[in-house]
Amino acid sequence: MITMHRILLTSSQRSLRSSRPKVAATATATATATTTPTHAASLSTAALVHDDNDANRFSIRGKFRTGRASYLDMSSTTPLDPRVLDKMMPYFTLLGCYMRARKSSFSRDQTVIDATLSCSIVYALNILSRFNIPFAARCSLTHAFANFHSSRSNVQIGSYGNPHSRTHSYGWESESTVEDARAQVASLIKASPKEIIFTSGATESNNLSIKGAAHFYGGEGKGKKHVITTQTEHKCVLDSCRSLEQEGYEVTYLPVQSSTGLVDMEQLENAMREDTFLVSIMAVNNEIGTRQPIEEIGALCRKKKILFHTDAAQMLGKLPIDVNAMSIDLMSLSSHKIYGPKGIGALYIRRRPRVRLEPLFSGGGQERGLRSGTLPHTLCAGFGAACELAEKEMEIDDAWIRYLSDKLCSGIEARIPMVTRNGHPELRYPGCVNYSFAYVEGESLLMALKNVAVSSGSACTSASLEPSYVLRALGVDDELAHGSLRFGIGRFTSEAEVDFLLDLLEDHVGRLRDMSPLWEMVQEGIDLKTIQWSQDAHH
Amino acid sequence: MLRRIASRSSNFVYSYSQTRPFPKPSHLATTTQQQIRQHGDGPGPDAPTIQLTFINPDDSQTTVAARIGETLLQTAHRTGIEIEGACEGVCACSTCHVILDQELYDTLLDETEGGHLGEDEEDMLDMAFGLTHTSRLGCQIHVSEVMEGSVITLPKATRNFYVDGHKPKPH
Repeated sequence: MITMHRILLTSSQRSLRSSRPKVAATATATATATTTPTHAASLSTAALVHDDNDANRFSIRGKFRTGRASYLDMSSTTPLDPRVLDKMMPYFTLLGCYMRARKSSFSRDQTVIDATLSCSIVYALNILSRFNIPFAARCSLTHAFANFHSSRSNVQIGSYGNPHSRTHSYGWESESTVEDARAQVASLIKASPKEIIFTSGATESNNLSIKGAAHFYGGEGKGKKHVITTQTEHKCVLDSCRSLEQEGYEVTYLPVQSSTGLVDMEQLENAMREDTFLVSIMAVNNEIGTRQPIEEIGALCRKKKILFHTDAAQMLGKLPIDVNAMSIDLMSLSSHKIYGPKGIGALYIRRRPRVRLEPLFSGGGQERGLRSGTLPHTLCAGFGAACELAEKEMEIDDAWIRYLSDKLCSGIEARIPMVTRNGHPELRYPGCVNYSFAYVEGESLLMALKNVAVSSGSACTSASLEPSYVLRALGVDDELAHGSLRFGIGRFTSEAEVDFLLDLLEDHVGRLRDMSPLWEMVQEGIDLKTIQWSQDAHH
Repeated sequence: MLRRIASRSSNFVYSYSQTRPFPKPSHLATTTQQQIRQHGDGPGPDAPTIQLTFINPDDSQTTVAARIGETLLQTAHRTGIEIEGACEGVCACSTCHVILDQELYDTLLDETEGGHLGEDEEDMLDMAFGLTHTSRLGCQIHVSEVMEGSVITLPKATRNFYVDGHKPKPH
């Protein structure tokens, strides 16, 4: 049974390869089908009909490897860096054993601290072995032990206090963790820690900036009611602007340059009015990777005394950011795009000159009154650790990702004809690569690429059937937009994954094009735009 | 031996203030406006006065005589206006939040160094309830002649608001 199955597989593969028609050889397709080796047909349970041979020829059944797909969707989210998990683990634990990290300022107490530490560990281990502590707790002790030499963190295991509790050491430790993380995030964007507030993610930060600024600076009697943004923004920005429109504000959605996605500076300046109070333009687009000219936009907004908000979720930790050089007033940051935990982000709010926002929800006034609620110091610690790592490794990550991205792009363009890259060729983040494959149906290509995890648009719009609005703003027509794929390359992507992807793409794009009558017509030189499709074709 | 060392370790009180020597970033090293942090009563009853009108949270108006040189918070406490002033005027809370009219706000802003309020006052104002463009902290405004006849609006509530109608007395 098994050997028969194996022979069947190999012969179907063989027939597929041998029967792929070359350019402008449509006649040979039918010829090859009839002359397929009969031993393959006799082992197959299907009847000897031409249709079934075609199905076998184009079938992808049984061609997939088992196991997890290779992850190439880093623009939608990134895996947690193990070093970040190490920093987060102690705060998730319950054990009450308290240890203090070695701090350089306490060098004269070093010996006593060491003694206390080692005794605490021995004492704790003693307790552990007596009470049959479960595996996870023992692991966390190991983590903490590995961690207590860290120079920054103040506390180790058993630190589960509320950071806003003022009256006991559990609270102080957690608060200290949050403040350390705040400093780490701030240092990555060259801001002051006082200017960072933690939120639940970039979506909340975007909402807080746009709606908060609108409600403070706009509204009845204040005269300011105009917001400028672009058509390629993230959905949360566009939706926030739309909800402001419901409240009576006016929003200008600027178009972008076709095929590159860059904002036109002249158009932006012309759109600014007397009653404009906010410009919101994202730094790096999450679908096409285009990097907007943030420094110029910031300078223009500063000149006109308009607030400049940017969604830097895709730029943080990948390209250098300097909030003062770029004259940024508000910036949304996300943790899970830089190998940190999901569920935490931050908002940078300039203090000089002071930017004021109205909070989205009311409460105890934490985070400068702008974001009430208990902070998850565990996630904050993870975010801070991810930022610290990003700061240290930005150059080497950039070199690696640039190398892989160039390999991918040149590979696709060399091996597959009629592809278009969406986005600006130079002003971009190299890790986000978006290609449109002409005459290929996008969903079927995605399904064929089952062994690779890629996306066909941004994650937030992948549920709907409409093609991506970002590609539409670039002027890509609907069919081409449907045949587009976005590849995300990151710190943990290997060269083998890129090679594997290239092989798969060449294979399956070729196969799908073989199936496509449009491709045949294009190969014969027919211009598809001159064809009068019949009335019945579109239902 | 373990027990002896363990008992010695219990003598190490976790000293929070020692473990957070957080360095102040250089670009924020100095505040331009010196915060008012005085204790004590302010000028005596024979100081010159000006008339000020307070609009209370229940929309009633009270006109009082404010002594020149004292802070607005001291005026309010002395004349029975309902401002809480939880920190007693050292710029550590936002309960003395008052709303000025645009003219007076601009006049007072011109008198500050650098043309903007001090960092600490701005920080406390960030947390104030019902913040507006012309909000100030009452404990940071010294009464002067330019304020003759001004109208000072109190916000409808503060961070320490009580839903049961309780009104804290000034200490």
